[in-house]
Amino acid sequence: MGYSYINSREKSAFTPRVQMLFIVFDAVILLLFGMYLFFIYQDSKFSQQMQDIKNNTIKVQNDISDLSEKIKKVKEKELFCEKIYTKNTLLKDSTKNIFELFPKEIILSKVILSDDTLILHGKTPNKQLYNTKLQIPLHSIYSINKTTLKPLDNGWYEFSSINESKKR
Amino acid sequence: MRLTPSDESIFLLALSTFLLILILLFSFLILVPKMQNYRTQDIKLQEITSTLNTYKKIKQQLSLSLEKSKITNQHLLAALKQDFDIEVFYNKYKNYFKTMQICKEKSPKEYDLYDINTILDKSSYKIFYNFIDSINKSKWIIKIDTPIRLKRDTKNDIDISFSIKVYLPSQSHL
Amino acid sequence: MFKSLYTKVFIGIVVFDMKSKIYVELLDRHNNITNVIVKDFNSLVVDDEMYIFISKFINKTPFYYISVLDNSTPQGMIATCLEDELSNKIDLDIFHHTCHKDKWAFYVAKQDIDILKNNYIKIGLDFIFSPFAVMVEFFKDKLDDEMVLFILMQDDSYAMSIFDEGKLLYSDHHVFNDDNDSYKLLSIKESIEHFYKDLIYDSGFINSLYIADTTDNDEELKRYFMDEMFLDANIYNIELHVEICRLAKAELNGV
Repeated sequence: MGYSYINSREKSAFTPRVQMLFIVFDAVILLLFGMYLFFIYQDSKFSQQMQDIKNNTIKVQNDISDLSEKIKKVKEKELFCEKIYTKNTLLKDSTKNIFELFPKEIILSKVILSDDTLILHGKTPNKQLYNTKLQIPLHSIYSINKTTLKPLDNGWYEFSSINESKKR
Repeated sequence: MRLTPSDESIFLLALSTFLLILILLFSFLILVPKMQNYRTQDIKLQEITSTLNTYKKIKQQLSLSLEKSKITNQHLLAALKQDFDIEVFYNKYKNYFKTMQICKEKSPKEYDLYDINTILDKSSYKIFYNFIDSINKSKWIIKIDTPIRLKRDTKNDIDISFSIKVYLPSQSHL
Repeated sequence: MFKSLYTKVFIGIVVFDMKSKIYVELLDRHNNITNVIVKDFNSLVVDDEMYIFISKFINKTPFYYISVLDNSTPQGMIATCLEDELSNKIDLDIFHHTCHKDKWAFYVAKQDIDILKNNYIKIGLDFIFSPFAVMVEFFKDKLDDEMVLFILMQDDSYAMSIFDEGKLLYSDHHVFNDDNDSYKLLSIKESIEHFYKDLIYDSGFINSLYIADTTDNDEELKRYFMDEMFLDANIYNIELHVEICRLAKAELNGV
């Protein structure tokens, strides 16, 4: 306006105290906002972790069923082979029985040994010997017995015995 | 003359109040829910982590169990993978008998069937038991099939003929 | 931004008779005067008492304006604002000037401005006004009159200017060391005669006389001018401390 020799000093509503207030509140708001951002970041981190763990869990579950399957297979194989070994051993025992059972007097000409069946063909000096030394032991092992005795010229008997066992 | 509190103080007070309300609103409407959310997420995460660990333990146990089983059964597992060589078999077992003949009969899906005809020395018939034991312990899985036929030989030796089922790696059912 | 929310404080300081008169106006945010305080201090500089008094007001708001009347001499008014024309009349190295409405320049010694600033350094100064500025504002509706003489009369100084239809013809300023009225009046008479005699301008006699007076000598003044100069003096009481605050508001444009 041109009255004064000098210009007035700058006046500001932004006094030091006001500035301080703004600084303090800015700091607080920044802090709070920082916390907010932290939580946002955590959100994404969480969902990532959740996903990872879910994936891992599925993978481990698959591994578990895998392993279970493998264990089952091994067990199957074990059972299979054990069965075979056992059957073989049983056969061995049956063979043993035959070899050991038989008295020297009775002459075996043919033996057919199956799981539950034993077919014998041979010659016996007499019926008694046959009955005591062969028939009776056979009875004890096999439940079904069918014997045919055919007399021979020399007094011996030719026999054929079919024995079946129902027991396993 | 008593002066009222300075304008600046009033202005500061008003500004402070306003900013305080702003901060409180922000805190309670936005920040606090976020914190609670964080906590629930944390708990959830812990839960599923614990579940995962349980599964891992189970897997560990099963793995151990499988290894044990494999070791226990290593002989038969190896035998199931073993290819059958008729020459090898013959050379291994011919000495049990006076004579031995082996020939391949047929090959159904599950096994190879071989016919074996032997003549066993009557005086050493017990060797037949050893033969069977040896079959069980052999490097193949072999089942001695029934029936076994024993016949008195002309020289009073025992003619034993039987079949064996050899289970090979190529068999699908295992 | 928030200036309009704040109270404004206008402080006017006028020195007279070895005392300082401090005038304080408080304005609310609508620029209405809410309070007026006047106090005299027995000091020409800012002593503790004065400082405490002023601090009370300055601390209320950041929007305070301190104005002071400059009674140093030499001071005056020149009817041009153009630098080259001014440099013919005054030495621009020594004198500081302020242009008013592109018509007149108020001038003062730079040194005197510095002295004044220094005297009030404790509180600082926002405006320093020439007595001529006060005069021009006080009599602004009479500036266009024919051959009019204005005098601003204080206890120990006077400022005078002669206008003819809005054009400045003459200005003069004197400061007296002693309080001798007759000597003061004589000086004024001589000053006017100087204008008449040394006429570079072809103008007539003074038609009207307006006096802005801080003293209480209405009657004496009227008689003197009538007797000595055949002039009918129109005397107005002026409160300088109020006027400089008015000027300060004008400087701030619309307060």
